[in-house]
Parts: sequence; structure tokens; C-alpha cells
Amino acid sequence: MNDCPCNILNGGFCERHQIRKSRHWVDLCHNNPRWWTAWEAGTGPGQKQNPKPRVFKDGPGTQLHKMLERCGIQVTKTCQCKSRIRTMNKCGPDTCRENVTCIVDWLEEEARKRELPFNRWLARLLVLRAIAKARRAERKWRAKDSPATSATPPQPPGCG
Amino acid sequence: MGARRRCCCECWVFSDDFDRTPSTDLGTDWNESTGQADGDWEIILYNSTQYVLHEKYGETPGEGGTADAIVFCKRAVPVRNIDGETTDGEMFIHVDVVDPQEGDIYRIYPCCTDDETLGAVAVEFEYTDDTTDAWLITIGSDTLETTGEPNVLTGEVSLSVCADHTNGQIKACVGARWASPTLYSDTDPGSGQYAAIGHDNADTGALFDNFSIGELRIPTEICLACFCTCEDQLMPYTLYGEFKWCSDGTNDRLSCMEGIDWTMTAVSGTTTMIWTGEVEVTTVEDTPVVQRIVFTLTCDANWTLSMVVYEGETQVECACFSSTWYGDPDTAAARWEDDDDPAPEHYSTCSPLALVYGPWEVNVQDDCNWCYKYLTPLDCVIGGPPADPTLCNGVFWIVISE
Repeated sequence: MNDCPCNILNGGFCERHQIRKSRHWVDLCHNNPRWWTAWEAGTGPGQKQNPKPRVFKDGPGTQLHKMLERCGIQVTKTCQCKSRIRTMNKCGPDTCRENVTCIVDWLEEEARKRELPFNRWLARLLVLRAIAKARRAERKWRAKDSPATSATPPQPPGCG
Repeated sequence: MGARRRCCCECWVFSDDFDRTPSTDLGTDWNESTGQADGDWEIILYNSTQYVLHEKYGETPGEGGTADAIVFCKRAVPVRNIDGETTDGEMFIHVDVVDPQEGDIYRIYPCCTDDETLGAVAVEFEYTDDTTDAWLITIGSDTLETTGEPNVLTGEVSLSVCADHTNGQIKACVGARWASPTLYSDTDPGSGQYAAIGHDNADTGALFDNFSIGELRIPTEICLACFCTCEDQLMPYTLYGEFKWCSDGTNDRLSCMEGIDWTMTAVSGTTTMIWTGEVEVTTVEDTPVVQRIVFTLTCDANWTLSMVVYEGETQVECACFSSTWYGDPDTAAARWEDDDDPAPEHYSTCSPLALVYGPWEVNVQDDCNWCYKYLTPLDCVIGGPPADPTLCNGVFWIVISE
């Protein structure tokens, strides 16, 4: 039996886990280690998700997107641009720099679909410029924000 | 010697099809416990076509047998440690019986303590009618009438048992395991790792073939989808439903439903595992109206939870039963990652088991007499502000937990 301090055997608001528990859930809190552990970790049933950590959004993906938009190339409903923008932002400037070829491949693929002229050298330049812009923007953002509240970019799921 | 094999995976299985030289020596994998009144267990060539296991009684198969004859399999199902839980008493057992006669009783003993001591439970299969191929399966006080036609060529009928000590449940069926009506029982089979088979056919004896025993799960996978699982967690026989977050406590039309719970139990006789349960919800008006809500949860890809509402015997057409399900934690997580799709307020987890359904939004048009009786559009919209506008609408969620 867990040392569940909820003195609400008939159900009610649990101060420790900050949720309303029914009799059954109080019973699970007392007797089922899985429920107890999850509630203690703040990830148990009924506990709302923690607010998302503030994430830097003007990463290389967003920067590249803005540059392409200025050239009249828009995100469409059928293209994969949005997910790739997200991936690039998650990757962060360093990982994107390591995977420039992958990103240029994405651009070439999309250009081919849209039947647009494509030059790999120019595309590479565009990507590198987006990465540089993202670095500057991130430095500025971090200077404003305390390091504790900024999220570390995860490793890229789609690159390399 | 019995044929042994491992799956392509690491799941442990032991099988014996008895296809070997006829002998009264079954080999080292078997312990002939009882049934030796006039001989013992033996392997015979039956009908000149198939080798089978026979409890020897006289010289002719079918001539007679020993009541309560038992033979133990000496191979033990291994015990694993999965996330801190051990798999004691988790196993499947399968055996074919050959040319059953009306009135025959066959038994499978799961979770035996060792290779000479029975466990807590016997699963009994009685062939009750040979014209309709009817069988009666019994586990303790739980029973199921089903059918199982012997194979035209071999005369064999498959009997299967799955035992899960961790979750205190046993299931059994006659015929193909994945397509036959199944008896579910919340009987704890005990923690043993051995199994035995036997019969109670003093007049007709018994012929067995194609025995196998194996484990249900290992740390990395489910070996046999015998019981319903949520990710790799076996679903309990009994579940509990509960109304939660009914407008988060604001005094609206559904507020009195907060915390109302009900029990849902597994239903026997179906090929897919389902749980049913019901609860009564009453209005708080001077003349209360009682509505009965019957829930059915199905173990399918979508974890479908259906609700039917009755007022007396009459089914009420509630318009409010469409909902988004946050049942797949991965899906919920994916939504959470998507900037364009707000994260669910509450979402499901498999461990601990809490399947979350909702939100259901009840509006003025919904004919549900829960808590405050529903108001008509005239009260809520046309006739100006109602006396208490919160009585027109409401929101609720449902959580199914272990």
C-alpha cells in the first residue's frame, strides 16, 4: 500500500496530486504502484499536460520559409513544407548545417513537383543563409529569455 | 521424444504432436499421474493414419477409460520480469481431442504448481450433443455453451485455454482460437508454470493430439494475442467507468454526474473481447427522471465505446454521442506536437490503464435528462436569456480505468 496522503476515502480533491479523485481512483492511489508513480510524476490520469516549454520558433525552417515566400513560393495543402519547416526548426541551426544536402534534396523534390526551375548551388546558398539568420534570431531570443525556460532542440527525426 | 521449437521470436513454446513410435513410454516430457487402473497412457497409431495420445484402458481405443485420468507436461513455462512484474501463471495451452463422444468430458489444467501437483483451476470441456456438436465449457461457476465440429478428416476438435494470473483471468474456447466464442472468467488460475490434460470418460476413454504450451508475453512483445492488450498491458477482466471533468465543476446541466462510476465486465460468448456495464443518471428536479446508460467497450483498433440510453424500456435518442477519442497515447502525443492542433486536455494512458473519451458537449437540443432536465430551445434561445443559462449546455468526459 502506498503512502497516499489523500484523506478522501470517498473521493474528492487530492491536494498532493492536484486532481479530483473518485473513490476508485483513491483506491488505485493507495494500492496500485503504477497509478501512484504516474501521479507522483505528474503524468497520471486526470493530470493535465504540463504547459509546453517555450520553444524558439524562428528556426532555420521558418527563416527559409519566409525567404521562399518572398519569392512567391507558398506552402500548399498538399506539400510537405509544413512538416519540413517543423523538422528544421527542431533540428536547429547546427544540425541543419550538417544536413544541408538533405534539405537541398527536399527543395529539389518540391521544385520538381511544382515544375519550377532549380539550381542546387543557389538552393544551398539559400539554406545556408536561412541557417545564419536563424542563428542570429536565436541569439537574440535567448538573450531576452532566461536559459532555464528555453527548450533544447531535439535531434532531427528526418535528417541524416 | 516430443517435438520442441522456439518461435522466430524469443517466445517460448513447447509442442508435442505425438508423432512417434507407439509406446507406453511417453518420454521425459510427460508425467503419467493418474489413469493407470488397467494400464497407463500410451502413444498409439489410430485409424492407421495418425499417432495420438491415449489413456490405455483395455486394448481398443474408445472402449473405456479411467475417471479423472491426468497426464502432466513436465515442461515449465519460463517466468519473465516485465517492468517489475513477473509472468508467473501466464500461459496458453492447446490440445486436440480426437473423435469425441457425446457426454465426454475433457479437462485442461493450467498453472499447475509442479509436474505432479494440480493448480487452483480445471477448465472442463463437455461434449453435450453430437448432433449439434454442442460443447459446454466450465471454469468454476462460469459456463459457456458453444459448438465445435470435429474435423471431417481427422475427427479432431481443438481445445484452448489462456491463463493470466497477473490479471486474474482465464479464457477458454472450442475451435479456432481467434474465431470462436470464448468463455471469459475472472478466476485466478494461480501462479504455477506447468500444465496438465485429462478426462473423465470412464466409458469412452480419451484420445489427444497436437499438444502445445507457451508463454503469453516477453519483455519485447506479445507472444500470443490471447487476451486483449493496451500496448503490452493485458486488459483486466473488470474495468471501471467514470464520468469526469463534467464542466470542471461549474454548476451546469451535467455537474451532478461528476464522479459517478460503474463497473464493466468482460462478456463471454463473443469472438472479440467486449466489456459491458450500465449506470443510472437522475435529474435533480422535483420529479426526477431516471435514465439508464448502457456502455459497451470493444477491444478493437479504435477502442470503441458505445452508449445507449434508456428511459424505462424506451431507448432515448440522445444526440450527444459523438466524440473524439484520445485513446491512442501515440496519436495524442502526435497531436500535442502539432502546432495547429491543440493538445487534448486529458488523454489516455495504457499504464496505468485509463482510456479517456470526450469531450461530449451536450447542448440545448440534446434529449438527455441528466442532472438538470434539458431545456427547450424556447427556454434557452428564443425566449431571451433563461433563468439559468448554464442549464442549457454541458460538457463531460468518460474515463475507463483498471
